[in-house]
Amino acid sequence: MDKLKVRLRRPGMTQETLEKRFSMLRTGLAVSIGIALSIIIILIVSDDPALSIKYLLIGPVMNLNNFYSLFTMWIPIVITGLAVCIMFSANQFNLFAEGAFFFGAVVASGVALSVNLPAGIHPVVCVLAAAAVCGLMGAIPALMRHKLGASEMVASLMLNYAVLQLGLFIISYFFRDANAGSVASRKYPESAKLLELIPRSNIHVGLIVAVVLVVLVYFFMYHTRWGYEIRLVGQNEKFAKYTGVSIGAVTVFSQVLGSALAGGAGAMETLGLYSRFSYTSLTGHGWDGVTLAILAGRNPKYIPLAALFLAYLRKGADLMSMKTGMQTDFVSIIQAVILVFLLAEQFLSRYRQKKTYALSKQLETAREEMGG
Amino acid sequence: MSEILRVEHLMKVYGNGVMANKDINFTAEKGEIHAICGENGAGKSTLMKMLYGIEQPSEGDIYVKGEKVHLTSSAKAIEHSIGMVHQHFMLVPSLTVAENVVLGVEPKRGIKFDAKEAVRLTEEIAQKYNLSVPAKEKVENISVGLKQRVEIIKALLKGAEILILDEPTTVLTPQETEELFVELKHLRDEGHTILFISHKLYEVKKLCDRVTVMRGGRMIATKNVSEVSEADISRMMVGRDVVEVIEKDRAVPGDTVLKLSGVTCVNSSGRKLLDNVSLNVRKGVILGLAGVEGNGQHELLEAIAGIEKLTAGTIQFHGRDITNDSIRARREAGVSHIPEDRMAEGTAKKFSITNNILAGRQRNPRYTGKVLFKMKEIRAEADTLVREYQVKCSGREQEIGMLSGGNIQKVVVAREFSAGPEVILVDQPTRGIDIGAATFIRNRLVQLRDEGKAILVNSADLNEVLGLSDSLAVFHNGRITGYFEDTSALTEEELGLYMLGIKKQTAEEIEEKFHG
Repeated sequence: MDKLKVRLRRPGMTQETLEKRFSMLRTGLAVSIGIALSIIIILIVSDDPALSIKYLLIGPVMNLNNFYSLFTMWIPIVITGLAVCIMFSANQFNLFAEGAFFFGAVVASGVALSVNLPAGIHPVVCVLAAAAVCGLMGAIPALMRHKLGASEMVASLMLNYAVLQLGLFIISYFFRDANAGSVASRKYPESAKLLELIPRSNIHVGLIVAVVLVVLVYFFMYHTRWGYEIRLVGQNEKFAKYTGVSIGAVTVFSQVLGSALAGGAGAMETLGLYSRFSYTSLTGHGWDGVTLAILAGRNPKYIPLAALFLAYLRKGADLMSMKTGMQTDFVSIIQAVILVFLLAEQFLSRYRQKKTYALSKQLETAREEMGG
Repeated sequence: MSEILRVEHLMKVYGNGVMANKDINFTAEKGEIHAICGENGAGKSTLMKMLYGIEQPSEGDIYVKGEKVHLTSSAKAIEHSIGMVHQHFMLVPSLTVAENVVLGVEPKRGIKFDAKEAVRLTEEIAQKYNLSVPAKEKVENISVGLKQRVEIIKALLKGAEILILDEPTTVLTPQETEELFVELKHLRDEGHTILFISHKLYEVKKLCDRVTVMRGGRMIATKNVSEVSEADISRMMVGRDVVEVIEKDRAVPGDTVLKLSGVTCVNSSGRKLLDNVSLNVRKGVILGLAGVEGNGQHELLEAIAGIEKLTAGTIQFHGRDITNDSIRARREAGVSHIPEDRMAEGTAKKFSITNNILAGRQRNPRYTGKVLFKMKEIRAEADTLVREYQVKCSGREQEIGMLSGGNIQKVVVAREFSAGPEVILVDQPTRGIDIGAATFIRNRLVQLRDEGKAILVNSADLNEVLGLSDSLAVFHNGRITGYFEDTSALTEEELGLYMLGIKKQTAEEIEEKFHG
């Protein structure tokens, strides 16, 4: 029996370690295939493939400004990633993060332009207002699902376009700068802007907020009763109900919380990087959040890393396009390929079955050697 | 007799690493009823799924009539004349019997479905094998026994020569079982081979020619039924002698904890699941709920737990009306519930044992502070329960889905029993788990009774209900048709008559027993 235990304790010998390794292998392979595929395409279409590949792969770390802008990109998507994590953890496929991000920017702009507050407090009020409004809006698809049985995915998807039009209306009707060439708001007062952490880097305090949020959301999801209930409902709704969890309250709560986070992210983005509201369409940060939540397996812990990866790809592609004239759309291809492989359940399933079988047999023999 | 089916060195490992079948060798002959026995989890179902093409073996070969076959789908299995009657019927309730029978091989006239021919085909088979069914009746209107017959005819129509029956008698009353056996023997005499999966040994003894025993995914032996006794088979199944008797002293009934008056539940299609049920449950008593599945026992437990909403009637707990209380309020007041289906309602498969034990206590100040969980307490509780309930696992952090059925059930039971309940609702406590775990759970129930808890038990296993219960309520069509204060004199046969609704006590008789 002791000998069996020793054998079982050896790394790679249990089903769980096998599962863990397998999912690492799968992620790694999906990423590699995505990158390999884009390199092949670059080789075929680029006039200067060596330079293109160089910028794509190491461009973001070639100089300090590029490196800074990595983090500028990183901040908003970490937060939307967390937002989507929370909603997906409850098994609610609410896609409102996209609309919330946009509308959060609208609300923040409105508050920034219509109230006067001292510098330290003004942006905080803007961001909180954005989070509150977007959180409430996030309850719409959640309630439609809970009360009417409508798919929260479809409802939230449509809500995105509704808030896009509503936001554009609000900006152009109440806050438009008549002197600006396109539809844009008046300039924000200095008091409403976010503090820049490193001068001329475009890295604002949002970076600290994002890092703090990662920790908070992680603890919220894994060390508090509220997060536990969200995950419980997501894992098995019926079981959660049987143990006395109120399904409606938990699912609505998770979506309000997620939407609020995404709204806050949008607010910080516009106050941190721009001098006025100038979005004319949805920004894509919410979709990135969905990508990240999937890449990170809905675990907030892995969001920062996944976000860095995505930001790096984006920046690399941007640089490549700037320097060599290649299309940035590449990133979408890489992203799509990676996601397809990650989501495709059958990918590597044969290999996995084979490994599982071999392992089971091995364990069985080990058990038999010990005499049963 | 000649061999019709042979499997050699069959192995099956599931995706989660569970080795369900190890090196299975066995043969079935033409014109025999061959029992496959084993405790739940012994690998019977896996073997049958491979024979019916639902699962593919990881290794090994299957031969039908001497020819090696690759059963990659159930269509392939049917092609090789293997048919299966599942435990849960695969019938469309809104279609007629004949329409169900020809489903997939519909007779056509031109491009139109030929309803007359369907009826003719059904009746032809019915007559040939002496399996009479009302061909034109809708399936939703016929009894469970008839539904099973329809399933058999369905398989026969598709040319099944080997018929797999997966625990066919679980849903039947003793009388319906008798009928089924007559029909099966007739089929055998016509030259069909029947694989009869069961763990009811007296049925095996009564019906089968040969028996193959499985244990822990292995084939233990194949014997002629006439040469072995029930005890022999049972010994082979568990690898030791089993005492089936549940040992307990006489109950010492205390005060009434739970009082149900006129409880009625109507489902969305207007059917009365519970019809004016009144019941008193006292401390220190195990009250058994017996009945053919779907007659209200399960619904009653769910109504008390707060899952099924009442249409009429009241539920009182310690004299307080809890009819409109939430599930959580009831649980916090001291109602524990072991749900019918541990995977669907009792656990979150991907959660660790710890997280599964935490369910329902996440708001208990013992385990959570104002904001953060008290991880130390939670882990300590999980460790204690794993030890106390002898859960076989690699540790409290193991995913619960990786455990065997018996160990999963032990975790569920541990969670519910340790929540400090006064009333324990137990729905199918030992369904599909090994005898060791089942005995453990039954003994625990008796122990809790002795500690003064009120316990309600619903089980499809009549032996279990009879053995565990101090008092017994029999359900038929959502009503209590019989109430027995003392179960010691009650026989399984008599119980069967009440379950079928043939024998009934009047409402007054039952009422009297509560107040007398």
